[in-house]
Amino acid sequence: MQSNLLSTLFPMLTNWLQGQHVDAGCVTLNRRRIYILPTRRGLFFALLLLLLLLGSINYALSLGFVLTFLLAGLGHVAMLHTYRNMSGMQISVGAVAPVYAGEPAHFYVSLEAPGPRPAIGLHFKKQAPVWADLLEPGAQSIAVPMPTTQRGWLQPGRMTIFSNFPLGLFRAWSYVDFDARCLVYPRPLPSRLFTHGEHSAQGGTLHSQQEGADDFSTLRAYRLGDAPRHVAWKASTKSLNLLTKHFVNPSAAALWLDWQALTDADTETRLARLCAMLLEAERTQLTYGLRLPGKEIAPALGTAQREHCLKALALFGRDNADA
Amino acid sequence: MQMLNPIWPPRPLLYGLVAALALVFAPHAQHLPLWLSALVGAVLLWRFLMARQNIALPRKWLLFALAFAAVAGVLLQYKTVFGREAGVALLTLMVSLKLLETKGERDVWIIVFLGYFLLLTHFLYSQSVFMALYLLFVAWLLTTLLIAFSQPRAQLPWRAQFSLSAKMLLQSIPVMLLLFFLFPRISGPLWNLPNDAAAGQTGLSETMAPGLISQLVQSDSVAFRVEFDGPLPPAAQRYFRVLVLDHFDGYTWRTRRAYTQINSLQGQGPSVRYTITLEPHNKPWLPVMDFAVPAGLPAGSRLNSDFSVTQRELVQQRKRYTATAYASPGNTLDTDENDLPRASELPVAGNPRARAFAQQLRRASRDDQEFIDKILARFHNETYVYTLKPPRLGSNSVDEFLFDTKRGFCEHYASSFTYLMRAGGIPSRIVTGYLSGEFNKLGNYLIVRQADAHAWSEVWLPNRGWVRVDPTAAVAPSRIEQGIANALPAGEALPLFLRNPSPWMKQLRFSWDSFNNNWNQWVLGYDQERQVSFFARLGFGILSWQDLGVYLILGIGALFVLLAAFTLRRRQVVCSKVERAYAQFCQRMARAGIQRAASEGPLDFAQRAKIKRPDLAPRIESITCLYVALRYGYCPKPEWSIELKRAVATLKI
Repeated sequence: MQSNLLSTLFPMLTNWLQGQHVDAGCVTLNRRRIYILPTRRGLFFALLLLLLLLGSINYALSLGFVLTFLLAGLGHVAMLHTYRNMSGMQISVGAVAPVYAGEPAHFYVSLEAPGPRPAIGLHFKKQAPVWADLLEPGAQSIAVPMPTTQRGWLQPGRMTIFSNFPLGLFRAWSYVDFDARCLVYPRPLPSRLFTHGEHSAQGGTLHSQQEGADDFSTLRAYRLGDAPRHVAWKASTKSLNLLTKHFVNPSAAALWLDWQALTDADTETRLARLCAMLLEAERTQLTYGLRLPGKEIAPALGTAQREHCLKALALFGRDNADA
Repeated sequence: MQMLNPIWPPRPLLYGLVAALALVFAPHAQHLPLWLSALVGAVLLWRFLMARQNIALPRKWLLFALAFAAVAGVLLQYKTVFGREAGVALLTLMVSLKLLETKGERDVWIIVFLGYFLLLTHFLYSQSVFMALYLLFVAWLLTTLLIAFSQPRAQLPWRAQFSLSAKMLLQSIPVMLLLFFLFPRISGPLWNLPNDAAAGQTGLSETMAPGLISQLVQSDSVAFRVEFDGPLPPAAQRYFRVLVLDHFDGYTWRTRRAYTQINSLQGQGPSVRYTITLEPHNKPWLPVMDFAVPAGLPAGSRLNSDFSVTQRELVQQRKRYTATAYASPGNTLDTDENDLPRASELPVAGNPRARAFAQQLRRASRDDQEFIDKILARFHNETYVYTLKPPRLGSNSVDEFLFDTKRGFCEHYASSFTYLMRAGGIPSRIVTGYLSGEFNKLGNYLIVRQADAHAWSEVWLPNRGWVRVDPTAAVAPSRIEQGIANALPAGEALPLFLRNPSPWMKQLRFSWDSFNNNWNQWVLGYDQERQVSFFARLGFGILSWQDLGVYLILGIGALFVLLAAFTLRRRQVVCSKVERAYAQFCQRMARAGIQRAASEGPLDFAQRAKIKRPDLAPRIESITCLYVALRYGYCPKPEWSIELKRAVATLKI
């Protein structure tokens, strides 16, 4: 009991003594993890109580004392209710999908509580919170956003989960650190791609990739010179642009997205261009391979290839590349 | 906090806020000037319409102008912005104007907090039970609003919010009671109360002119309540002295400012101890039953040579004091030498007929006593009428009353009697106070109302000192014995409360007054003195404020633990029992050779165990189901944990 009381009173201290630790997949918030302090509103409430007390003493208002003490009791009760709103809540980590730099990453957590828990806020660091109201039984999945600026692994660190409910006089909060991370791809930088039949100055190198007339593959925007018989008239009515049926010769050689072929001085720009090209190739169903200094990914097409290549771009030159 | 909704605050919340503020302000409408109440009402209505029609809030300069105008208006009305009246007026105006500036969450909670503060200001005017209940209701609304405004996104159903705030207020009551009884009370104000702190009370005044007391009799407000140690003295002895008036200008009697203090009066004859709970009247005097002695008077008060008791400060709060009344003041012959000449003064001119009448009657009498008796006999035998509605009198009021109108209330009789005494050479003076009162059998105390106000005379007789003579007794003896209602002639229009009520009405009135008396004594009158005696009676001895502080901290700590156990109980009790039972189950399975791995969930473990021990499969299944439902399910029922415990206990391996 003694040690429990101590840890309730000084969770911050014990946490500090225990050092930073990473939580397993599921965490139940209990008194060892929940911190509680008055908010600014709570401090003003204390000031209100003081003024009420002074008024009651000065004018000897017995009912003034009753009112003051009732509100003091209310503050006391509010602390317990705020704490209760957090206590017993179970948080488990969920999936997080990779994003391109600049888009917010959404870390999914699942919240479940032994009773109704309104107005629960979740946020990373100094981000604006997202709100959850656990009013129905069962788990609720919440996406907690975290902005991204650069490629690589995004480790948002510990997540703050807090509540000011019901009166906003106290803020109870807890930290959970699931060591979750999100893969951030480079932000695609579109550039002129695929100048037919030559080494493009700003693009990948097209090796023997022939646009053929053998197998219909996909639709692409009409370009000058496309044969009118290849125009997909019917599909074009649903699009803003004229579409051309695109045919690929399956025996054709792959498109190599080659780091060396790019002339940009800046690594990030090159990666961004490669990313854009990769996506374009995927979109146009061109088989592609990726060549980075020290790494080569054989040509292929499809989701697995795309993710493999994007991951290679995202983690290029990072120490924790395979972590 | 992030505002997701551009329209803020949401309409239902804003309507709630406007309605709650209207209820907060409502009781002040009784005493605020009409223009101010109308202005506040208009602002509330304006805010409501702005929300309804989606009109933008007024700009800052307009708000400033309105606030400036409000201060100016209050200054014009009250000539100050401080003190009770002006302060309340200004606060009311400012809070209502703040409603026009609700841009963010902070503005709203500031308004709610100011609303809580405004509740306090109502107690300056009334601390009745009804007011307390009404304000409790308003506090409930304000708390609900605070809950509603603490949810940034979805709103709980209103019903849930109301019941939550009711629950929270109920849970605050133990702390409130503890603080109320234990919080060290300080006697006396922290800073000087403004003069208007207790304005507007009715009661006796320093002057008495014909008609003043009969006016006071129209008021049923309680002047004070008296508890006697021992039997109730007869009505004819219950003369409560307030003031002595010995300066007469022919129409009005006035009191003299400075009576000397007397310290040595002993008192003679039978005595009775009593305790008075005096309602605040904003005057320095304390009514005492005739005749008081200096011994045992409350601190800060003094007995004057006219047997009245005064204190230094004005009585602005309900005051409780104990005193002893003696049948006779004892040796009063050596009182202040100025008192007698002053009690003999007559105006140089005026009331000639009465003067001549008295002088002639005195000459015809053998001694002072015979003279007094003759005058009283005249009141008794001639056609004098005791009435609440006497005709108006001119400048020779005594002459007109004695010889022409012959209709009057106690002040007419006392005034003319005293005048006749002085004209006949006997020093005499007017005493004002209260007579008899009404006994409340339920509460065993005497209620003395303003309606019991009375005036009588006192004459100085050599060898006997000051002697009370009540000329009203000569004209209407039943006034003294049975009260005003019986003394007035039939057909006289009486205020409702003075009429003889039916027995059950009387019973109801007594119960209500008895309840009010307890409310006054225990809730409103709970001061330092009561606090000390309360804890002494509980067996704590005399507590200092340090002791109280220690008990207070201990008590609050204990309450916190109790309340925490109560609020957090369901989950923890269920969980700990459940965990224990499940741990026991795992132990038993381990003994049977099936060890649960640390990383293994209960369902996986059950799966594995069922394969190893197919004979136990149904039991394993049901135990696991119960455990999972209790541990991870929504709102687990306590009886499941009992079932789980039984299932584990009866598991045969």
